[in-house]
Amino acid sequence: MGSLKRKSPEEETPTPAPTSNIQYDCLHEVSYPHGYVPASSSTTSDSSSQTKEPAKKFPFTLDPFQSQAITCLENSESVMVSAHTSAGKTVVALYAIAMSLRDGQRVIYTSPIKALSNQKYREFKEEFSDVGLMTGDVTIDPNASCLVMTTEIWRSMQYKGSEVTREVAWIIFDEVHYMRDRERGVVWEESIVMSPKNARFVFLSATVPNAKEFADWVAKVHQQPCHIVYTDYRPTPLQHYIFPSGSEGLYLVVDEKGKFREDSFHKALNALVPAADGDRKKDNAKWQKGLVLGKAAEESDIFKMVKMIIQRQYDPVILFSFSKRECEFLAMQMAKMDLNGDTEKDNIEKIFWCAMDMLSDDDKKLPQVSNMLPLLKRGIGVHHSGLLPILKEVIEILFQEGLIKCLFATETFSIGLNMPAKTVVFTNVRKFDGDKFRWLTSGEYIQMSGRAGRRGIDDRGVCILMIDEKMEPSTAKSMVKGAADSLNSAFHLSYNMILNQMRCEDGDPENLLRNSFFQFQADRAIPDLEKQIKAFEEERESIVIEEEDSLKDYYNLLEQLRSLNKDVRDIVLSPRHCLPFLQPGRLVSIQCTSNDEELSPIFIEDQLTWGLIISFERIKGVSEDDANIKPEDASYKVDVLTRCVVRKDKLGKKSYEIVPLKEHGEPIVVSIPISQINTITGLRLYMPKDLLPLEARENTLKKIIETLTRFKEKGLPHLDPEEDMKIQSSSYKKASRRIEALERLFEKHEIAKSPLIKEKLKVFQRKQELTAKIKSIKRTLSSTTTLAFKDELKARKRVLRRLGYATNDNVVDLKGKVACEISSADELTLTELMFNGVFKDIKVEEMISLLSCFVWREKINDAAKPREELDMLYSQLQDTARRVAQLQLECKVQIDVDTFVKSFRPDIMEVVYAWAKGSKFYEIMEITKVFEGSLIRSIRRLEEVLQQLIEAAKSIGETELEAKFEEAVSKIKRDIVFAASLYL
Amino acid sequence: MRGIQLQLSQTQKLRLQKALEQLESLSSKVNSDASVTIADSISVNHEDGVLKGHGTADLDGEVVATLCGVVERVNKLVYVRALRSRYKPEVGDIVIGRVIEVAQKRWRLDINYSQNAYLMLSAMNMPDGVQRRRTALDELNMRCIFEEADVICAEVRGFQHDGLHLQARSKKYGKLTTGQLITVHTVFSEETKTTFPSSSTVWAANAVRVLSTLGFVITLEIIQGVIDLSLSVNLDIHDMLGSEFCVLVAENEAERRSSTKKRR
Amino acid sequence: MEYVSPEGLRLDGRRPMEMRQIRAEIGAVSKADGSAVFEMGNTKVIAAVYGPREVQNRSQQLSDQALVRCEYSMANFSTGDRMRKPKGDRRSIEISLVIRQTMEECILTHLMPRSQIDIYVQVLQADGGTRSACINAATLALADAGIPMRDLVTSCSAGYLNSTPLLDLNYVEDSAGGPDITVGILPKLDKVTLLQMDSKLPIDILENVMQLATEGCKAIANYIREILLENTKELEYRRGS
Repeated sequence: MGSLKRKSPEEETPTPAPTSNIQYDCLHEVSYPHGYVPASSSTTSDSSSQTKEPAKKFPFTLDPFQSQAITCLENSESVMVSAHTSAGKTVVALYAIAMSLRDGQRVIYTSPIKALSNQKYREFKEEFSDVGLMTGDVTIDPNASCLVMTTEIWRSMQYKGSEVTREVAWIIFDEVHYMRDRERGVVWEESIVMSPKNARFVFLSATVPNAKEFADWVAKVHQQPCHIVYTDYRPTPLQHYIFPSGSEGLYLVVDEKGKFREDSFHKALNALVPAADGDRKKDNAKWQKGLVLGKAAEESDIFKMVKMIIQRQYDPVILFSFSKRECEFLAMQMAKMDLNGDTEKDNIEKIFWCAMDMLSDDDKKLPQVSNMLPLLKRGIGVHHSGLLPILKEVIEILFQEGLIKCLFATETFSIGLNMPAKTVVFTNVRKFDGDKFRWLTSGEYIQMSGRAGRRGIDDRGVCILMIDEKMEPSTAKSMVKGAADSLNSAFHLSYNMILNQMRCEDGDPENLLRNSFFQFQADRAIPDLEKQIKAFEEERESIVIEEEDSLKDYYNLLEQLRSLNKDVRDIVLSPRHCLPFLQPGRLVSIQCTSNDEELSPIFIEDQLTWGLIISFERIKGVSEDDANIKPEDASYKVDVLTRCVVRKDKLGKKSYEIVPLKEHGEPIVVSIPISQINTITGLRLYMPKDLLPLEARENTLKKIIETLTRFKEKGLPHLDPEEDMKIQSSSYKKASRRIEALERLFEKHEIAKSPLIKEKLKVFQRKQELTAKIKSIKRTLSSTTTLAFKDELKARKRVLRRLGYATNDNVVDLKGKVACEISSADELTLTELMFNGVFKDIKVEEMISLLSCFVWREKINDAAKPREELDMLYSQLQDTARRVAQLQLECKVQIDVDTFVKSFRPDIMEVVYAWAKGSKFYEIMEITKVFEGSLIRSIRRLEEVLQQLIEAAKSIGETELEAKFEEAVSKIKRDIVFAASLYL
Repeated sequence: MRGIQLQLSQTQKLRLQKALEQLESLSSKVNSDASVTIADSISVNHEDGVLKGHGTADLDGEVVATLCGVVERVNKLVYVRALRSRYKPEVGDIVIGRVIEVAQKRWRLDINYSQNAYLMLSAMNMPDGVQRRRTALDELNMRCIFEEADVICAEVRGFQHDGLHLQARSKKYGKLTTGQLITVHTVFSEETKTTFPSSSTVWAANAVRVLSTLGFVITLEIIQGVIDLSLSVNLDIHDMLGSEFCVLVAENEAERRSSTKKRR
Repeated sequence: MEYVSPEGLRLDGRRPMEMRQIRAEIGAVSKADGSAVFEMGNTKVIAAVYGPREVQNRSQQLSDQALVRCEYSMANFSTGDRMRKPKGDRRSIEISLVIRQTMEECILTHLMPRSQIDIYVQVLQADGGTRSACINAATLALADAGIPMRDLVTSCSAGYLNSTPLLDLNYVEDSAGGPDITVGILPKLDKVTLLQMDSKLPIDILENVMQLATEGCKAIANYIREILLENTKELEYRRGS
């Protein structure tokens, strides 16, 4: 809507565009495919020399990046525009549409979100009229020249080979940075790879640092040049402030010129009012408390914040928080505030009820609806995905009309249509990402702060961070001033994708893999790896060793000896043999704990120390706290008195490091596994009864040292394995004989007498290591040059064959055809359920309820267990899912069976059952705690799945089942859940 | 019993019979009771939901075949695979059809299915490969692309409200200029990724004819085998349809199948 | 005239309840989608089925089911009489209609919308019971064409001469002017789909005669099933895997 706004004349004049134009220029680059010869200039200039009338004229001067992009469009070459949300990328899209319409070509506009598609449809429809819309929910005029759709629809159109694919000349991918989305990102890659070869693209993306890489990929895949127009330009500069919790003021940390003010940042941190109770820090929800509880006398932080914003006339303001509940909670804090006059209130009420008019009377009484209006009237809004879609849209409209001054929103509000505010507040700087709280990334920060500053209205945008704990200046800096997230591939395979590709006549899953952005990025890494190899190889060559051959010989002998010694030790120290000798006071030699594992010790003697056995004990199970204990010999551990260095790690856990006796350290009794003992001597020393005093232990150690010096000449009497310990295993005898033989070989070795032998060996060892490293890099290199995902593809194909979805010649079988149809739910589990006849015997309502498990992914902690018959169905589903997962595991697909099984949530079964039974929406909301919006989304998705199942039933000729699915659709598709969007 | 409409001498008859008997013995015995005719009931486990697919119907809770063919089961799905029927298109199949009519914005094609198939003008790649909307001029020029009686190769796109639609989304589809079109019962041809391409010279055509008279499965490999056989016995083309060669092919096929079976 | 001798034998030496020799062969017309020859004694008919295929006359196209058409004709040489019947005579039209209605009843027409199925039956040799033979041949041809059907239809006639119910009348018996019932049944569904009678018959005897004809139908059904099964198996093994 930004462009619409700018069209109004009175706002156009104050735009201080020219000055900023000079300041912020845009970057323009072109990626050519390999071996591409740019069309000779004569032909290009020919077409442009006619100076075609521009397809569309804009009533304002274009920014340089816009005109640059439009030039590319006129040359009919693809372009990637990477700029901030508010910069005006829509202009490029509009121009591309106008141009296609002029040339009698079709154009497709895709966006990641249905709501955004709806909004864009409305916007384009006003402008061009020949516009159609296709989302999962609605289809309007599919024969129009300009089609607005979601990316998913575009993908499936390509799989089905819609005629649009043959007529579309321009494809506009909006918000293409969505490609890094873990779940849905792969859709973009599929769509881009499969797009018709003669089509041209317009990619609109937030600022991404690796736009060039993306363009290179497009150029390579489609064998056409792709331009990059990149700009950091913000039409309205931003100021970043910090609001320390509990304080009174704002601290400017980054000014509009982008300078980070360290001093002011420190001042802000110092102003942090320390938390009242120390425990609050540990509590994850701490800050909600801080905001909400506040002392009765003083107002909560959030209230203060909003008040300050209103006073300073920084409104309208968007306050971002990271959970739906929090969002609502904060809005409730504003109860006392009224930001609107009477005329505004009337307007709001009028707009609100106009929109709600399409709801039935019962639905109008929904608590969410009736609670919202008073809040809205006071100029306060809430926007998150848990709202009824219709409410969300009303709030968006009211916000655009300027009737909402203060909007509490979640991150979703930052994506999509241009709905800027003067000020953006981050009510938290940490975000829960599934398993832990982490700082916001700079990319997220950029995206959200992009909402600040209305072009042509505000001369600057304001960003306020509310922080409640100390943060490092570097953290803050990287968040506020950091680079945008780079665009990385989130490619992954799905069965539906593989089957569709296999069914597609010239489709080949491998082809898709080869052309994926993922592969492209992997290929990029190759030169780096090659460089590394080269460096290592050079280093290896530079190491020159005299008499290398004999040294190598010697080294190998040492290695052999070591492994043999280890064998012997293993036999001797097996609990069976050595337990009787682990009496208190026995002197043993033990290995030191060495931290640098890189260099394996050449001479064992270097790493040995001595200790006295105190006792030993049996351990049950693997104790987790001592990482030094290997599971295979965890059954016994020995307490030994020796010298240690005590270290504390960050968690405050102590770790002991055994060091040679003469080094600095404390005499301590430590538990070690038997394998850490090197040899057992025949000596036992007297031990004081009480080892608790430090002195006693120190003395004992001294005694050990004394003993050692005493025996220095003769060597310590070791326990003889055969005579003393009565070991009679043949393997021991064999090993000891070989050791003898080896030792004789050592004597013959000349090089052993060389004085520098140790150093030489070390150098040699380094060389060996380099060789090993080169080898391992070469291995990764070869695995990247071979196809990424190749093994997974193989494994997944194996799964498909095992389940009878495809034949050995990769021909899609009957079951595969069914799975092909299902793209909105787990295709394998659903197909298996269907083929196992589960849907056949149950009632329609039960079936709908069962299918709800496929679309509901949120976890509700205290959801009631569904009634028995539904629960039985659910366990049937779980069995099937488990079987499917297990089979995948057998076929070497990496999958966690339990997680997979648990990903089907029964939480809304009961609710959906009631809905299918014909209950009113307010009735079903009474039996659940889920958000209205989430529930509606799930039911809509459920309908999508049902439509796909109808197709599937058709394809196997099961008419009864088909009728059943049809009935199911008619049962759920009603009322508020399927209320049309306001934007249509 | 299905007679083979050939004039056979006594010895040829015996040889053919022997070859066919050998084939019969080769076919898997387990499958023999899976054959059903119309109105035969198909035994299913009635305790839980059975999915009744193509060629089956429900009669008082009993699953009954509505076709002659072989019962196939996939998990709980039961369906009857017909052995002789018209071609039944599946999405993604590649079909060959003859243009019957050039209609408005579309060609009507006979693909040996229960209905004619439509190939929309918009479902065709333009000869020049340009992406654009089809105009009225393009419609007038449709005959320049295909006209009546042309044989076209295209891909099945799916059923739309008005019938079966085809598409030609890559360059390899389009008019087939050489070769001849033979209609066979498609159930003979095995489902492979690419059904047989129509590089049909007269040799191949006759080979296909022989195989279809005998009712053997038609794959590229087998067609090649038949052609090789005809070359090896130094046969004239016109003799390929003769009874002697037919018997020879039958014997050859019997041998081939038994050898492949042994290999397994 | 005596149609049943005191010994209980009919003119052609059959017992009253005995059917003539029946023989069927599938695949007589290789060009057709399905075809069959059916013989009952000296009566021999050939049937060929084309379809489901595109409807030739667009205006007849049905959007929810298949159009079934049937053409019955008698070869000129099928009877010894020299009497030439112009094509499209009333009798042919009537029998065409009878066969069409009978077959349409058992074809699952709703599975093949917007298409047409043509059934051609021709009598090669007529010796009574042509109507029944035609229906039987048509059933076989439809099954051969792989057209989905509710059930097989079989037909047989019976008459009442010399106070004796007679199964499967031949031409001489047929032309005796006595009552003549043609019955068509769906054996599996156990339903009657065709019942025609010429002349008069006491109501209490009708049941007997009809019963007899029904038995005949069932016998034919068994035979047809065997033929089809054999054919199916042969197709399967010839086709190979």
